Amino acid sequence: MRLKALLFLLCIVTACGNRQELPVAPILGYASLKTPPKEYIAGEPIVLEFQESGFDRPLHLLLTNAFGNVVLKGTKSKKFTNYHFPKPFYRVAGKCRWKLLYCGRTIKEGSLDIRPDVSVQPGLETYFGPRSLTAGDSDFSMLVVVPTDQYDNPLPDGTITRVRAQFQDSITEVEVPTTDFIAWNNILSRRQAGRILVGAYCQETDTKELTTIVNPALSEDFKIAVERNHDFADGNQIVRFHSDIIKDPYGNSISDGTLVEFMITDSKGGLLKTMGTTVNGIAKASMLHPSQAEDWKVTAFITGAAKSNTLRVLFKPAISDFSVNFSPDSRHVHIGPLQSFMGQQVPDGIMVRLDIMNADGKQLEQKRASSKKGTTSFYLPKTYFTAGSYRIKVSVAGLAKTFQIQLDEHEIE
Amino acid sequence: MERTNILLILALIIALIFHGSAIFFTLESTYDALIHLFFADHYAKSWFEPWDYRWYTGFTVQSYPPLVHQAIGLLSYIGGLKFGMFTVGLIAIILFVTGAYRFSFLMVGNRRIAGYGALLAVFSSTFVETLHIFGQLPSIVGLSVLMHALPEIYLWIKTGKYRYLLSSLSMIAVTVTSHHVTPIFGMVFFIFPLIGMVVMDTAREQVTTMKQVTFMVFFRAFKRLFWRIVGFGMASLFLIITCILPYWYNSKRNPITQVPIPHGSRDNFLEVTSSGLVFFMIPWGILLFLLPYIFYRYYSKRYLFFGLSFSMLTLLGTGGTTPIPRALLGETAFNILTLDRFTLWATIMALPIFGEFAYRMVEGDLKDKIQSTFGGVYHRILGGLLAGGLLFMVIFTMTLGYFRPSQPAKIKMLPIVNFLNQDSHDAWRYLPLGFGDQMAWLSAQTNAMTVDGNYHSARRLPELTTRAIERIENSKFRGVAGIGSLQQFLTVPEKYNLKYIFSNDKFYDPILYFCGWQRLQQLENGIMVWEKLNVPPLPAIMPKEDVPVFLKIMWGIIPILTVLVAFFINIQMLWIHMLKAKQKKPPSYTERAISYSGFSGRLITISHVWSLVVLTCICFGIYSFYIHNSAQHSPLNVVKAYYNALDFKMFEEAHSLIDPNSEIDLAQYMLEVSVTDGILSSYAKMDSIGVELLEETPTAAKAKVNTVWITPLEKLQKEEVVEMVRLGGEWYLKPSKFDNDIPPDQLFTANGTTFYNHGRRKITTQQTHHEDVLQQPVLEILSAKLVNFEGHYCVIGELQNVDNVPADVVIKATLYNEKDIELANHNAKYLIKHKLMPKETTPFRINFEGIAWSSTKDTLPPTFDPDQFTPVDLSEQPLKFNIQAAGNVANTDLYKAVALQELQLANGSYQGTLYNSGIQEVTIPQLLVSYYNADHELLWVDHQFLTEGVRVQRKQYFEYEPLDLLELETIHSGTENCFVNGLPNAAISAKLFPTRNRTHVQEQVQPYSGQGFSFLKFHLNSYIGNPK
Repeated sequence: MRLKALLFLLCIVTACGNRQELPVAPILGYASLKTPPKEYIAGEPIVLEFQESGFDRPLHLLLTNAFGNVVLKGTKSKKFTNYHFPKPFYRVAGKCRWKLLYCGRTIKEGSLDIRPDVSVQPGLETYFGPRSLTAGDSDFSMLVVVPTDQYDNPLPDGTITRVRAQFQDSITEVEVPTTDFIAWNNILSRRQAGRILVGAYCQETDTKELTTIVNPALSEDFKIAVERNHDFADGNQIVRFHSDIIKDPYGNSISDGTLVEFMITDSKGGLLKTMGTTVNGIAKASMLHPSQAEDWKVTAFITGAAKSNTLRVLFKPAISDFSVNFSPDSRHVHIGPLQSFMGQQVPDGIMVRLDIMNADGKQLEQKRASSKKGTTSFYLPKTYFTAGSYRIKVSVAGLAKTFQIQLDEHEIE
Repeated sequence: MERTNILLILALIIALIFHGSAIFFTLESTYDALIHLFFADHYAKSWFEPWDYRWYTGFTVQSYPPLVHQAIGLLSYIGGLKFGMFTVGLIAIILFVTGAYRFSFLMVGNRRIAGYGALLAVFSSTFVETLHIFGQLPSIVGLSVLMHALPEIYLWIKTGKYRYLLSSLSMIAVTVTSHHVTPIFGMVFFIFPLIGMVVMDTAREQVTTMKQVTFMVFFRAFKRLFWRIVGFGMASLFLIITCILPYWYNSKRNPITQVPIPHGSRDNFLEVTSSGLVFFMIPWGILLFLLPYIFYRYYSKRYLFFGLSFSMLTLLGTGGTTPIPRALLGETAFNILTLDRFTLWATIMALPIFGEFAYRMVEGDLKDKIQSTFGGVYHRILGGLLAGGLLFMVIFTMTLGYFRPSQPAKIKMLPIVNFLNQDSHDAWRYLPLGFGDQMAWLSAQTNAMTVDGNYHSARRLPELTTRAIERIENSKFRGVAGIGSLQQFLTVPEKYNLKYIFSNDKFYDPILYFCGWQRLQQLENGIMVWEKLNVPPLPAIMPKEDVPVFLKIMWGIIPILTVLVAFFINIQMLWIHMLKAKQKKPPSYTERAISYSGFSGRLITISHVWSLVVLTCICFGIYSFYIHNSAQHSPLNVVKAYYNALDFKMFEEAHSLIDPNSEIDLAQYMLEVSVTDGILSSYAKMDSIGVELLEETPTAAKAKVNTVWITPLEKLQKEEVVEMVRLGGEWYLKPSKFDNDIPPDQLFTANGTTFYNHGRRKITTQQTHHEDVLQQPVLEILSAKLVNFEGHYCVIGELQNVDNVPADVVIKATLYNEKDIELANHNAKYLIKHKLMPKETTPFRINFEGIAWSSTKDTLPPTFDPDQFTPVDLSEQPLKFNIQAAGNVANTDLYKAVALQELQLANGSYQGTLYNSGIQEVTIPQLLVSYYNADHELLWVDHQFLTEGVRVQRKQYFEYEPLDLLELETIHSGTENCFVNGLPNAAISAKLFPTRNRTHVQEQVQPYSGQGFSFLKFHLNSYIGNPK
């Protein structure tokens, strides 16, 4: 349809264009609109009748509405020429302008008003957003409702729409008349986290259910606690930190998955950390027991928003002493047995460090090994450690022992 | 009429049975065949439109002669693409065998010998390799048709009959449209010597014996034939230009200005023995033993020009073994041409002489000579050895692809094709990784587009043309250039609308993760699909380089037309001749056939000596190969073998090299080795190994092993001291110690929040319904700065996910000069946590990378370095910056259960432990370190990947040495030009975080009196290789 009209328009433009070279002739004909003035309703077919006389060429009617333009050819009856509006032009409400053209020149013009069809059940266009809110008094989502007739024309201003919102046990309803074709209502956030369901209706038509989620607001400061099996620094057991239920100012526990960082300052000033995400407002995080006596100060953060109390966690040494044995050539160093706080073997994996220094105390190498069955050993190969005197330091669980050893050129197997 | 040539028929039958059935098992896993299939698919879909959007963000198929592709395309209308490919393969086989027959016939003038030539052509290892390993169909077709053309050219110049000119030109045209290099070099190496031979034959007719052909006689004959030669030359030049005019037009318009891609045929074959095998030993095969005979024959007076050409081809085919080819071809041509084609032509040129040799050996004078000199048994043994050698080479070549696969295992493409077709996934580009040449087959089956491609001459993106890589898909084999190229696509995928990656190689997983990609799903064929959020779909209208319509029509019509014309002229006319039943005179070159009598005894001696030399070389090669590779032959070998076994994850083999007295059984060893996960043990490829023997006694040894490993993220160096022992003549390695740490709990529980996104809740073919589009999570940029450190401009800062859902973060910074003119932009790559839980913060640093080596003059780094960073070339000093951050809901890779423990400062560096308290094994832990000044303002962001993973409830040690930041210069600071999801950062801050407590950041930093900074903060990011 549109294409046909366009082609036709093109033909006219070209046809008239050819005539441009000729001198513009005076319009000799006469045309008058015979259709009585009337207010049209969208969807009702429109025919304009003109009485035309004295034209040597057919006239055309140019229609312009909100959707675009179309050029119509008339159909002649006995006395009048009828111009039938195409569907898109009599279904769109609003102003529709017409111009009667004779070779591109306007003979007559006018306009008609088409009103939306309010007789049938309206449709409702809705938009609702944002989809999530922060709990409190300031945030809101906006529901926009546009009641339309069956041809998608917005209904006249003042059409009453009702907006209903459900939150927990309460259902509210407000009446919103349309202004500038739309009805809108701000759904204010609530202090409790949850889900607000919204719907609107206008006359007999209703919208689908729309949702916005009220998320908890920023968290308030909270408390943390520690949980552990014993307070010995055995480097093996696990120490667990957990928060109480972290809440926002309105008493909602904060969103699941919120990251809580537990920052730990140890006795040497090192800043350790472990992290946990909340479930039902509680964040849990764990760490290994230190392997030497420690004094931890633990504070948890939800960065920028909240902070916990500072918790002091003390660890007692698990290993009180250890023995070191050397092979006859001093190239094999045996450490152990390492005994834990009850005199039992330490769990496998206690880190033992061996620092080898030359006679002047200059660090040459550091070796590490983990214990197995409470013992471990080191070997000083002659490739690296030629004959001479060395100082070695064995460190286990914060304890250290220093020895002076003499290495020979030959290894004793 | 002559009798049908039995040998030729036999050759054809064997060729069709042998090659014809074998191609169904070999062709699809060759290097090139699937590329031709992709081109064929293009023609089948749009015959006249040369532009194809599917590769390289669009390229033109006028960059390769189209005949073979169009033929496959045409045949695909009957039985599909693969049917077309195999049919063309069969035609190529027939053309090759008959071509070899006609060429041999032309050369020796004896049908029986030509029959031998055809039979040997079937079994020539060079043909087997070209067809079954390289899959170079156009090259084979081009060469075969050229061989068919040679007798016609001879006859035209000799007789001057226009019929022959016509038939020869018709076949030259077919050659040209099927392969561009063949006719050009064929002119030089085949047709020029042929012309020489014609002139020689004409000269011979003027005198009574060959001896009397002096230069003057030759010159007179040349003068007589001059205009025929010129006529042919001009006409074929015209054909070469017009038949593929669009190709030349395209070459002129898009000259190949690429960094040369390394090719094995340019290697020194003595150094790179694998290249020597593939590009020298296999194509020559048994012919190596016959070289004296071939040279002897080709340097006889009649064949003199062929002799020169043959010598030249042989020499050029040796690649970088000697400096001569480089000097002869010049630097540019040497680096562009693949030199294996010279060997191919040389071996093809040797076929007639090989046929002649076989004839003389089987039923000619050589047989008599050997039988009379050495006896009949020796003759049979020798014949058996030669035949056996020939068959061995054929079988060896055919099975090469089986024992040393050049391609990944065959991938079922259907799930990928279905994935691309569903849910508008083809509205974005995709990238296959680790597909080998099968990527072409995938491309042929879908309309979706990729940034990669498999025809490197047609590459257009500077990111690709400036790198010496053929595909991004196999970038791990291309070292720094490869990974560097890949990184650019992964870091800024928005630029290419690249959203999906199909990974067939887990090597690439870490780089994908750390560039901000996430796993989407594993397809039923085992291919992992990775996706990137926040990538816009392809625009509906895309640019293309158009060519004039007449070129498109020429390209679409001429190639097939040349075949039709050639068919009409050569076959049709043959029939007409036969129908006329006129007694046909044998072609004039048969007059030059010689009678074979009295094989030179000296030649036999020389050949024997030569064979002995070749055999000795081969034996020496095998011996030295054995010595260097026999694992337990020496302490050095055992170390190398052990590390190689580890590199290829052959733990059983590695275990067999461990000292049997150490009482570690295989189960224990497997347990200890296989539990260590991490970038080094799971994603590294050994680049080089240096073993330095520290000490060696007859029974024990000790060595320092320096290994360099390529990982997708960075280059790693590892130094270890290992001990070896010798037991019963074999060397073994002493096992190293393992961490004995045991976790406290056998079973434990963990709770956490997991997230799920439905995607489209409502099934629709339209755009996703409004309610099903998730709201973008809101981020807040806490601080941002433009700094200059060590000559590089970087934008650094910190951001926080201030929403209540996890966010995937994409952050892009743009630099401006004082006049607000954009200088550069780039995305954050490794130096950020791309996935943030609610309220999590991350530091970030955006480096402005240029396209590496964008001027080809820059020297390529000789060794691999994935860290290689090419700063963008800024023309002016940047003064301002802008940051665009975008959040999208993330529901994967949200593992946060890694703790930082036992941090202590020793000798200026931090030593610490990471402890994994969760239930997933962390494969690659990353430390992000942010530096602050005394006012707690962020100064710099650094990072470090840990080489080993952290297993559940276990520790991993790390050491980090803080940087010296004295030279750091802050250029601009402030968040006023920062935007999140398109909204100004300040507005977000005011609305969502009005009461931000700024002291929290200050309380979370570690005091450290460093060079140019006062505080440090460690952030942890963990990549999980195998999420459970």
